[in-house]
Amino acid sequence: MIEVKNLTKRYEDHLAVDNLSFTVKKGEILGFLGPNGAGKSTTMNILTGYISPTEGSIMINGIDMVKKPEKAKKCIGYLPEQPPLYPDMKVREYLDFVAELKGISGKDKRAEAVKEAMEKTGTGDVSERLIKHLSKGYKQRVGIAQAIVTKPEIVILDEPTVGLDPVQIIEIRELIKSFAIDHTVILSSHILSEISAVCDNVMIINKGKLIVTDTTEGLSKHLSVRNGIKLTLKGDETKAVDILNSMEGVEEVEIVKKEEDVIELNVYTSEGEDIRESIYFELAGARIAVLEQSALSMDLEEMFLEFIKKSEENSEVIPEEDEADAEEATVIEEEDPKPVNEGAKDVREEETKDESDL
Amino acid sequence: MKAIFKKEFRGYFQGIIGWFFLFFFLIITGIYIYVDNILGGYPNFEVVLEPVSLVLCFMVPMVTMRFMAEENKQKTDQLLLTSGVSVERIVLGKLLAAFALLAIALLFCCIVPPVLFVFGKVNFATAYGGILGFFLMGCAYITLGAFISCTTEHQILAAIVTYGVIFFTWLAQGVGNLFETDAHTAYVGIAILLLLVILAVHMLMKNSLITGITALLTEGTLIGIKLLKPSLLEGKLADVFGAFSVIGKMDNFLLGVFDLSAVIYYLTIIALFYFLSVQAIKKRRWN
Repeated sequence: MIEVKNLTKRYEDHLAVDNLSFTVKKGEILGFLGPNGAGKSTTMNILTGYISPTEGSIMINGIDMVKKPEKAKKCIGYLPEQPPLYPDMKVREYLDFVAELKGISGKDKRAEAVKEAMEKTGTGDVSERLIKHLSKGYKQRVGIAQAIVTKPEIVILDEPTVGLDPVQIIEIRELIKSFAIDHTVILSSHILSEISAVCDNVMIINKGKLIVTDTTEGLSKHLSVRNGIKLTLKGDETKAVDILNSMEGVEEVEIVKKEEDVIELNVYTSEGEDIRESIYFELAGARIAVLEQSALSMDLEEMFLEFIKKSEENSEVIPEEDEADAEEATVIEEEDPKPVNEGAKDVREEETKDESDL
Repeated sequence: MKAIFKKEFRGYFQGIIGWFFLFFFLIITGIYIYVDNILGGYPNFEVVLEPVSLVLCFMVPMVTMRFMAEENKQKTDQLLLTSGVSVERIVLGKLLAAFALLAIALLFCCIVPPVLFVFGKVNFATAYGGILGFFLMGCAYITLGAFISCTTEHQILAAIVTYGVIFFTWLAQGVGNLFETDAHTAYVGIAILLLLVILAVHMLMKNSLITGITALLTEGTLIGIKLLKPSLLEGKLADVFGAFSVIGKMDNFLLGVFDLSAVIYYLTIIALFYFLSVQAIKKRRWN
């Protein structure tokens, strides 16, 4: 369906996308994950033929995007980072324009397609309002409606849930999942829960480079996670540590946090051992209360940070962020993990330096 | 392309620009018709077109400033350029919409010559020839403004630059006639003009290789002519300035002569700036 080989985008002094290769099969939902300025938007802009690659090939349904752009573009519905809306148009008028632009001929056919897209995205009740008067969430939905109005085989969405409220986010996720039955979807996000909720496969990108690609479940295999249990206890600290250390199968006990007499600790065990039950009874016997007990595993958030950290340690030559993505970095979401925020600051400084009109 | 034409044409009348253009244009034309034809009792319509062409120069940048600059600013160019419609067709659709706006204004003018019959014998051929020439001149200016709008995302900047360029084309003939006609003046003048044009192209295209080669070739040719046959350059500076005088090509039409060379001149300008507009959009994406 989509085949990308050795995709590279080089600006005068830096690499925005560095030798990216991947394939997406029909009916698959692929998630691009990466911090702001990682090259997600640039990659999507190249996939949709908005900007040209410096090197590499993109095949859409077996059609070469560089050689036959008009034909390849017809197969794609694209929601860029900033929804491409005309503020002075009404929603229905705008969607009708997009449908006609993308080659749906016949008034009735277009009206049908527009109606369906509005139903799916819940924009029917604002259909006669000017786009400039809509809220950010509705604008985003109209943007999504625009991408699916022609029922393209491939739908590419750049951060589709930005600006939506939690209920809408869930709706849009359901919508994206429902496309995937007969469409191929690529979406990008820097919010991990979104990717894990929607996507089959994940590609983590940082600084234009592919760091890892796998199924959402398979990601953890790439990191060495130690086997263990996370405990929250109430009682005497030294006594608890002594008991835990004396137990069979325990390799190491690590205190994470201590607040008055409530202690949080990680107990690392040898592989395959489940000692939760015995921990409970042993500690209860010593009148130490077990408030919480859970298996130690990395959630997606931690995994993501770990991947980014690992990749940065590995690469000695760090390419600079690209200008287009620097714009992206100015909108910093609260969900951003901290190190990303720090990175974004540099990008912002850079952006002010090389702003140009043309 | 049809979708783009429809959207653009409707866009002129959804905003203020289309109405403003028609209103202002027709009011001024009406005033001149009243003064020249009705009060003056003169049955030739084409005389009205001379003052009105200045009004057109004033209006064109307002019509063309949004042409592509607005799309670039709003990022709606992403929609157009990923829609599967070629850049050539996108620009053509937009240009045709602007031409259509001008055509509507001129359709009203087409009613005037038969009415003037009451003041004497009207020469329909010269009247309608004049209107056609006027339309082509307008289209040439519109394409010029469209090209400037394609190179930026600031519509006000596009408007200001377009005003500057139109002002130059308006003055060009007069300025050209101020200079002496000897070969040396022509040589220096043309060399400076070439440099200015090359500099402007370089600022738009940002490609040192192309502008460098163009500069070497054109200036080289000029030096060659100066060394080998300086007599060729005599009086040429006025001619060069004359070539920029878009409005000056209207003169024959206003005198009632159908000037085929002017028609070709206008069509060339339209084709050239259409081509440059397409290239400017493509260039932005290949950078």
